[in-house]
Amino acid sequence: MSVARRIDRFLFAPVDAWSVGVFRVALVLVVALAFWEDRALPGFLARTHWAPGLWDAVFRTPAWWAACLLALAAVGAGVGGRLGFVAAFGLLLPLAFARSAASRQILLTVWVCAGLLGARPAQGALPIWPIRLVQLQLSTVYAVNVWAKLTPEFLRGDVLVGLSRAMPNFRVDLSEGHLALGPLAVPVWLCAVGTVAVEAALAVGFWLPRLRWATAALGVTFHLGLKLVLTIGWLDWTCMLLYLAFLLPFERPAPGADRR
Amino acid sequence: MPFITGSRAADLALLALLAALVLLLAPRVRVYYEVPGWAKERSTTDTKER
Repeated sequence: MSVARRIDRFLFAPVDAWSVGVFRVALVLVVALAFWEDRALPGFLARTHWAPGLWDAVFRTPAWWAACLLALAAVGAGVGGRLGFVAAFGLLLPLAFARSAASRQILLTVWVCAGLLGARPAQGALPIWPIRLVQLQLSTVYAVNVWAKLTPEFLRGDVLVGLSRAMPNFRVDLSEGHLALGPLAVPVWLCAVGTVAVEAALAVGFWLPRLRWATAALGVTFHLGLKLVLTIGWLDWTCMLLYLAFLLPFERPAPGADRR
Repeated sequence: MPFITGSRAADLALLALLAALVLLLAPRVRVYYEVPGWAKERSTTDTKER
């Protein structure tokens, strides 16, 4: 098969409607929970830097949240088609510009990709490329983290020690140079190097079909373990949601072939 | 081959636009690792999420 044809197939193969439906429901759930959590944030964190009065008067009111939930429920139920996606996007967009909202912005980008595939999976053949974008999103998040952590300071563990001392979202204190895992004292440098190695594996592993499920297991273990050490909001759940972009059978089987 | 917009060229243009957005957003999660020693200088209120 020629390169051009491979690229064509990679981007424009018909997407599997069932997988799109499953992904849509999972996305609605994670988006609803991620944005709902925003309500619990103190006002100064939830607001953006611009027009704080508007936030208190409009975007953080029960009426706005009710509208958001209604739109999300409609999309989850497959009502409204792309219009439902657009309405929910419009309602959620202001909330994604609060401080500390990186994972919500990623979720909204994924929302746009899912919206391109419509809310009703049975509308006929659509290309797979929006799912490729979601896959790219996941790999890029991990790759960027690996790149940012490839510094002598981080790999020595100095950054982690500094973070654990200064940041309230760290649940452990690494000042003594190790992480206590039951009877084990894991050196901080090993934690740092291990983090980078795991994230590098997660950035690449999903693209290798034979390693997809093993990579997903590694990722879930990594993120759940990370939750014992520090709180990073919804980025963990966002990443784990995006695993579905690799794990669900989005590539529709060729005509005549049985679905495994 | 199916298309979302009705044509390959428009699909590719939309794909390129969204890919740029994806690549633009991803680095936002790395900010807390960029500068060694940043933690002592930054407000602790910025750390609810990466």
